[in-house]
Amino acid sequence: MTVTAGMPVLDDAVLADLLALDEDGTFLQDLFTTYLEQAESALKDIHDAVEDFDAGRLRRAAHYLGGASANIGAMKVAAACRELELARSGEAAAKALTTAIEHEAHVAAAAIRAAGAHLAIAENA
Amino acid sequence: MLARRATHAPPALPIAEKAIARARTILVVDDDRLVHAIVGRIMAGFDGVLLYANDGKKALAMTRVVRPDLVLTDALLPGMDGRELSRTIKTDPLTSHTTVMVMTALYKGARYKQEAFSKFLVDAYVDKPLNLQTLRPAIELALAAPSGGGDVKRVRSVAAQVAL
Repeated sequence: MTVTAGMPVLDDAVLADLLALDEDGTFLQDLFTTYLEQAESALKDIHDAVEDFDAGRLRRAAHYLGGASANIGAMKVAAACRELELARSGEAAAKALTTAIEHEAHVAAAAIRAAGAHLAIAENA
Repeated sequence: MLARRATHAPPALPIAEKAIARARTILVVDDDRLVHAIVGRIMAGFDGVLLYANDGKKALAMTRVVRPDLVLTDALLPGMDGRELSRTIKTDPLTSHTTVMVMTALYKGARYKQEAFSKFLVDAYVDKPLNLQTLRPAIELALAAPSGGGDVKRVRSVAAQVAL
C-alpha cells in the first residue's frame, strides 16, 4: 500500500501529453473508454489467477494492467501492479497486493470517469 | 550507346508497384490497445502505412508477408516474446532488413539492453511508459537509418540521444 503513497491518482503531466495529441476532442475520451474496458477485464483476470493460485497468470495480468495504467497516467494502479509483478512472496502477500490493486483501480476508474465527464462538458460548451 | 544504356536499365515497375515500394511501413506490436491508439496518433500525418498486431506470432506472420521497414514491438507479449520476435526477424534473410525497435517497462537495466542488442539483435530500445514527445523522432530516425548493416550503431546512438 505504501508504494502508492504520495502518487497522484491521475498524473496531470501524462494527461496533458495525451491531450496535446487530441485534435478532435474524442481521442482522450476513446482512450479512457478503452482503458476502463481493459482494467475491468484485467481485474477479473487477476482475481481468477489468485483464486486458481496461478502465479504466472497473475504476474502477466498485473504487467498488462500496470502498463495500460501507466499509459493513461493512473500511477497508483501502475505502482501497485508493479509491486505485485515483482513480488516473489507467498500467497497471502499476493492476495494483499491484489486487494491494493483492486482498490487503486476503482479509485482510478472513478477519477477517469469524472475526467471524461469534464472533457465531454468542455467539448460541448 | 543509348541503346546499350536502355538494355542495362532495370525493368520499369508499374506505377502502383512503385508507390507500394516507396511507402514506408511500420508494424506496431502490443497487446495493449492503448499503445496502438497512442502510436497511431503520435504518427498522425506519417507518409506511410501503420499496421497493428497484438501478439508476437501474428506479428511475425505479418512481417514475413508485408516486410515492414520498422517493427515497433513491446518486449513482453503473448505468444512470442518481443525480443524473440526481434531475433527471429533479424536472423531470417527474408526479413533481416527490417528495423526492430523494442518498447519495454520491464527490461530497463543496462544489462538487459546490452543483451537485447547482442543476443536479440534489436536495433533500438525505448522505455515504457512511452515518452510522447520523443517517440516520433526516435521512430523517424530508426526509419531513416537502414537496418542490418553498419548503420545499426548509428540508430542506437541516435535513439539513445532522443531518449535523453
